[in-house]
Amino acid sequence: MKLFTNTKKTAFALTAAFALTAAAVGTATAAGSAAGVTEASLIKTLASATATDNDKVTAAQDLGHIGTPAAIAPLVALLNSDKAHLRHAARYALENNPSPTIEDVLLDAAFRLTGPARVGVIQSLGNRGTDKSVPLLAKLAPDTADAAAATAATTSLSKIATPAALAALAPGLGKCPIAAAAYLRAADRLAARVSGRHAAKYYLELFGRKDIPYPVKEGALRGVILTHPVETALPIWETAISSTDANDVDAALRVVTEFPKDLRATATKGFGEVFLKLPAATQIRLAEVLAVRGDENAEGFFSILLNRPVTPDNEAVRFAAARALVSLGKPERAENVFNRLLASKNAGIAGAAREALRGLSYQTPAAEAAAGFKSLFNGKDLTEWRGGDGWWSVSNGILTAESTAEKPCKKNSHLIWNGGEKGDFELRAEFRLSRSANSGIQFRAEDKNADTSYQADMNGTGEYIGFLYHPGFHLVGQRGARVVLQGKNKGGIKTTPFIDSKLLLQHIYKVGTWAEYKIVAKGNHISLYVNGIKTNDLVDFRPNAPAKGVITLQMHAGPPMKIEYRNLRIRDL
Amino acid sequence: MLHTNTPDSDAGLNRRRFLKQAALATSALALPAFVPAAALGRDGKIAPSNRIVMGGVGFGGRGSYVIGQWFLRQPEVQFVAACDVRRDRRNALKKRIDQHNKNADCKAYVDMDEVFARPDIDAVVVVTGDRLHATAAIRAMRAGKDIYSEKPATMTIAEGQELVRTAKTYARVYQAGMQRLTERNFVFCEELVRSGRLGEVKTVHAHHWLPGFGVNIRNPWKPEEKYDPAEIDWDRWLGPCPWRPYNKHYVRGGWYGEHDFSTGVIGGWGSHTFASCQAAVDLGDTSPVHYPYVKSTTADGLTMTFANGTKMRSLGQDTWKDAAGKTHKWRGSCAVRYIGTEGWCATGDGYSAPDLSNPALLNDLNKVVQNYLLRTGRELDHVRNFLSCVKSRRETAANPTLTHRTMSTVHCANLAQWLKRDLTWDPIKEEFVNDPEANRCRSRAVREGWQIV
Repeated sequence: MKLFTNTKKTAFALTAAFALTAAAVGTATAAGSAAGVTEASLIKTLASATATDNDKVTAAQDLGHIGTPAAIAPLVALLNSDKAHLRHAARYALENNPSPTIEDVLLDAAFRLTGPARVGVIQSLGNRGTDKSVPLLAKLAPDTADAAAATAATTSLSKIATPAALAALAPGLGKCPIAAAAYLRAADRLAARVSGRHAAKYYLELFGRKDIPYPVKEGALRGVILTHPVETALPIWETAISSTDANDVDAALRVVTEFPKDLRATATKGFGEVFLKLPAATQIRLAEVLAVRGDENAEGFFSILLNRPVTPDNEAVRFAAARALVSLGKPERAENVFNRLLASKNAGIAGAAREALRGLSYQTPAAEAAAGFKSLFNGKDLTEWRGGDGWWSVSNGILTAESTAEKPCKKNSHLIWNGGEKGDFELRAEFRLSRSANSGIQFRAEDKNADTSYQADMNGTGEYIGFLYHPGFHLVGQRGARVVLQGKNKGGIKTTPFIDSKLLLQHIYKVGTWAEYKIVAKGNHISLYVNGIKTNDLVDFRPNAPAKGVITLQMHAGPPMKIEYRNLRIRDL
Repeated sequence: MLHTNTPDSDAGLNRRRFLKQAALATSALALPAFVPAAALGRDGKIAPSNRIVMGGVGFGGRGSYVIGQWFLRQPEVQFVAACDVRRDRRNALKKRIDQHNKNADCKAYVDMDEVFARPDIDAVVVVTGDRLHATAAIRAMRAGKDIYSEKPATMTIAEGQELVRTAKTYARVYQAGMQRLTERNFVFCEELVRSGRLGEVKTVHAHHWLPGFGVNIRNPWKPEEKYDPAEIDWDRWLGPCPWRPYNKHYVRGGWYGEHDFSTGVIGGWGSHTFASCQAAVDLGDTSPVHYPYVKSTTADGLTMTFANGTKMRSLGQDTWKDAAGKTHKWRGSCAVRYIGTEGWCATGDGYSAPDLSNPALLNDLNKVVQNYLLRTGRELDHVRNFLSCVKSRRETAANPTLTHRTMSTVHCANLAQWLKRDLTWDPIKEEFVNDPEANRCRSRAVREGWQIV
């Protein structure tokens, strides 16, 4: 049986003829049969003495979609029925009938009918009514004798939501259980239909009352904040966010995401003072919604917040502020905060900081390509590499070097990238090592002797991972430290740790898993990162420090080992 | 039949407010929501102030799983109310809860408003039949409760609009049961689209099951049967829907094939797959602008077009060839396929990993998903996402806007089939273009006594 059929787009000018379907007499038709009904036949069904209730309900539903003014009288007749389902069917049709006379028809019925029949009509007046209905609804809303009608009238006044309707609801506040919710939702509808300014006073009135349910109070709080000028709204908001009532705090947090774009909340003088007095949990949540809102001024605010002294108690807030800065497009400032939090005694925060740094460093392939990264390894063969003394091969897209007990590596060996010498660059590469493996990514090295210049060091157990190695200075670039290199003499190496070396290793590496190195070489400044976290920062002031050279992958002399690299890419700086 | 909101007339604070104040004072909530619970060093016991007190409404087949297993096993959740219009089911739910709580404190209810009015309840989960989802959600939110509602979340476009407005006004946390939005394979596919790894994605395919009854489901009433009012409250079962005589067919799942109680096959499946698709191409705050009438009883092949040109196709099965000429098919329900200029991905229920035009992308699955979780603060568990958001007040994955808009897609698609003509939709004004009849179908009148403020 088909539900709705109409070949014309305009429902009123119904001149097309439709075939009668078996639908009108309550039996199913085969799916796919083209069928239609005329309004006339539907009306006939409504009036028929032999049609079943099912037929009439179905006919009324159809009239709800295609009925014209012609359908109104027959439907109104059904409003009188002592059967609730026929009354509902009639309203189903009348509520969506676009004729401007529907309200009058419903009003008339509301005066005539009593009991449950009237309740339904009152409901429909809410969905169809205008100020014209308000006097009747106002009379019924406080009716203690007919509670059902009173509830329906209150609800309908809320839906009509004109100033007159709101005025009619006001006397019920504090008396009728749903009057407050009705008033609130009416204010919402008025604000949406006309403007926030028009609804402002109603929100304010509700907000001032003590005898309303707390959900309504929170809705009123939201309404007041959104519809009043900044001078009024902000102090109210500040009071709410500072409240000991958790519902006020929730509402205040949520409404931040709805602040008008030009409301520079965080730029106001009071905001910082208010923020600092909030409990940590609220500070964190507020930091987040400010970030979600994309409040540009919040950036300045968070920076000021982060400039305050660090204490163990405010770590979580600092984390939230840093995370907010990331959302606001200022990751550099956040990185420093996260780096410090790696050393937090609270494992949850340290872990979150680690994940945040990992997330910050992550770029999609598309983003990398856009940034100018080019691949060093085609994933298939060694055509882009030379040397390597036969240790290297490619399998499953992985560049592999393997030595065994029968065939050990007795001399350091380098696989050299054919792409030429690089000076200033950023290189990213994933690596995986067996427990006894020792490797490294050499750069700015001499072609004829690759065991020169810098190396991003690595070994299977992790001891050397994150260190910047130099054959002349060995493990000069300590993991977790800033290093200044002047020369080999005393005082020539100045190492300033920024985090405990062993602690950092725990954050950046798990034995036997894939990890990613990032090498940034610019002028005399080298930085190393593993899995997004900075491990070393070295400035080389020696006059003969290498400015450019080849890039290699090292196979170190030693016990049997397996070394794997994949996803190697580089961009010039 | 009257549904009123009792005022909060307690002299002191209600338990919920006290709970939250206690939480504000402790540092337990001081960590960002995405810090894994394990890192908080819990000893396994949950302090009373950290509990989320809940009520369950609807304990049929789906409810048995969602409430009886999924919600009940969450450590911080405590159920105190069991509601169902059927006596056997509310008793079964109470029994299940009592068993879990090891006491008999859970109260049984027929009227969901009584559950919503309880000051000690923080959140409710609604697993009734489809016809009541939005009604229950709006009532619960108006009473100040957070809500997890099963899908399809709305019966009409108007219900969806009201859902969004209510959640905003009352600052409530709402999650609809489109759980694939927080499942690993589906999340990975979304991120593949977002990251540009598939090129530009302008076509998405959404699965729908093809049952016998198709999309047109207005059937004659079944014969009236007697029933015991103590066993089932038929009037309350119907709720705002048009009355019809009782027949056990409806309450035994037959409602799914009835226009008055269900959004049919497009709703049943589209509620999931349209949500997955629209989320993946970041069109979760709108609906397509064009819906064709498809001369098929099940609307198989229905291709909808968004304002930006993206096409979403609803299919009973998807079959395609990869670059090597090998044929692929969907091999699970609620499947999706996202097709870009540089590749495609497909996933569905039961897949161990998505099918990809470039299988090497799977190497990055964990990294990509980790990055997503970090960025959104979500977790790969729909119920945990809801509960986290109840605490943090963040937006859930299946939030009101995404839910309303993807259900609007369902309703528009249904209407095109019912009216047997192509429809054009204006997602800004939320109305059909040049089609008063279709516009008259955006809402349905409710029965006496069921109108909500």
